[in-house]
Amino acid sequence: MNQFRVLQFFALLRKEFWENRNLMIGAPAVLAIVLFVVNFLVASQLSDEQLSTVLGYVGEWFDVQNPFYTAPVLTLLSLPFVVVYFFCSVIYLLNALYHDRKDMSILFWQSMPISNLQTVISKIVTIVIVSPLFTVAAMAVLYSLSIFYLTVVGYGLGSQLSGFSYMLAAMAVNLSLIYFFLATSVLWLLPLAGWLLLFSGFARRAPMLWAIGVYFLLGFFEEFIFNTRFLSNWAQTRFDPDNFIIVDFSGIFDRLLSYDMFIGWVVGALLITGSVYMRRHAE
Amino acid sequence: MKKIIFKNRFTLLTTTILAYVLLLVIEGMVTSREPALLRFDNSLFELNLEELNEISERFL
Amino acid sequence: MTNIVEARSLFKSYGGFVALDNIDLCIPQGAISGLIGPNGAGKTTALKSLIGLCDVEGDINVAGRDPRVARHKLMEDVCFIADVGILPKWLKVSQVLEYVEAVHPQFDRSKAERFLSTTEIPSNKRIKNLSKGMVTQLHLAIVMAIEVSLLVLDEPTLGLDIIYRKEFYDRLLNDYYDGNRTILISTHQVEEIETLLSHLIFIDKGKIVLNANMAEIADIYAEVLVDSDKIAQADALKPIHIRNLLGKKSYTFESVPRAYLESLGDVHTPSVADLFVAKMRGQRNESV
Repeated sequence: MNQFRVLQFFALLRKEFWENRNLMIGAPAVLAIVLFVVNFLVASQLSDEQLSTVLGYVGEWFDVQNPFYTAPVLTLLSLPFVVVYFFCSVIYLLNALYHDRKDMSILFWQSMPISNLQTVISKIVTIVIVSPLFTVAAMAVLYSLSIFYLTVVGYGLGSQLSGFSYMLAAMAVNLSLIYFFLATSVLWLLPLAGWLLLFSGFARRAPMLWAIGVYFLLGFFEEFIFNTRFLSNWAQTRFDPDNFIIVDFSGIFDRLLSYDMFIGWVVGALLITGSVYMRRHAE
Repeated sequence: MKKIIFKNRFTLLTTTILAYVLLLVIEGMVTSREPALLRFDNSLFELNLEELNEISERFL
Repeated sequence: MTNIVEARSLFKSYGGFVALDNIDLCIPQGAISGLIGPNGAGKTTALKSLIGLCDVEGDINVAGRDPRVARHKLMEDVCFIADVGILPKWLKVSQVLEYVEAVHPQFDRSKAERFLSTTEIPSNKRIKNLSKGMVTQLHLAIVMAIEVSLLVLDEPTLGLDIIYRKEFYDRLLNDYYDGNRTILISTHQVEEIETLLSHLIFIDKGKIVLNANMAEIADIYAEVLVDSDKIAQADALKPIHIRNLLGKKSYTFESVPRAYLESLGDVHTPSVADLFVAKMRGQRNESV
């Protein structure tokens, strides 16, 4: 891997970022603003006494001082971001090999010395490594503003705020955890990513309909014609949240560097290879 | 062989999906994959329920 | 003189429609070749096959490579402009330059910026906010700043105002062409480029109807404004095309020595446009 190829690859990542700023930054940013406003409205409905009690309780919780223990609470706040990230990634992947065929800009991209493999890999690296950064950044802004706001309110009410300074540490742990979780979830769901890319490269119209339709048709055929359930067993394992939801850092490597993760990469690689060939051969 | 697979995008799609299904079926047979029952017994959700209970107790 | 493009027996069909019917295409290095044909003749298919964007059967060698095997490697030596407006609409001008600079080893950004400074294209505007003509100017500025041995242009001035069209070919010839680079242009607007070309390729219904350089054309083809009393003699020499021109008849001859024609009337080399019509009409008449 010489230096030029590395520079080329970074250019591809930059291009993905330029093209998808709305999905990558806009969506989590809007969510952060919405959540902040919702919290603000909820807090303003409480009386001073209720608010003081809640803040006191929160401060007490964080006073435990161990951010690894307290961080998981913030996971509740992270859930909307995770859900939004999932949906944005699906949209991104379905568009990834579709949009530039639709407006014919593919003729420009392919007149550059970049292989189809490089293109597809750059899109995967984007959702595994680059895109989660922006989601986590939006969360960081939300947390910081919330903590600042609550601290100000709390001082005004004279609440017990001893634990608040430890909130920042818990926040940092939570953010790292969420970043790690997002990245590894995408890796766990690599077969899904490959499937979406395949249809993104195949469809002339409505790639989402193709991706969903064909999958259900396959499952239907398998069950009613062969009376087997290999496809649905596979899907159930793959989408069982218990297999990849990460709450804290304990036991992570066992759960993730598992056979299921690796076989997922094999299947994902098969579908991704299909999507690379599809980009080359689809007219 | 190559001519058939790459004849058009439909043949390419069919080939890829066939390979995919084959891989899944073989894997399922080799590992005797069972459908995983959806269980929500990880610590995240237990924690949350405790939290919510405590908070509501404090209020009321 | 080596051929920078050597393509033989190219065949491509879409369902029942034959786009390329076993054609040979050889283009010498340093040529400015015009690929001329009506819509649907197979121009775009032929050009795309040379740069690996279309899978065809046959032997293809472009700048020493098979475009179907390693397109991205080939793109370091070959540049391609398709019909106007394929630059991605959401990109800013500065972003295009930044991208090509990082991605293309032969791109000279300062050169491109020098070309751009002679236009009115602002660097922070998005491509969707540029006029069609400006998009072509931008694309050409980029392409001219890339050091490649072959430039393939597929109807590059389609839909542009005459000013932009003229400027395009001006720049191409004066600023870009240096005798070593090869240019392959396809168009159905023959008149525009006939003065530029060194080689002519006519294509119709997937078949090559003519492939010659301009010197050969002058030797082989002649157009005669036949005097009214010499019509019978002219007919006997089997013209490939006859048309009425200002009350007289204009005969086009192929491979008839000029000596025989001199006595019939005014002899001159047909323009590319007239030759094109003559060959097309002639082909069609033959097949009837």
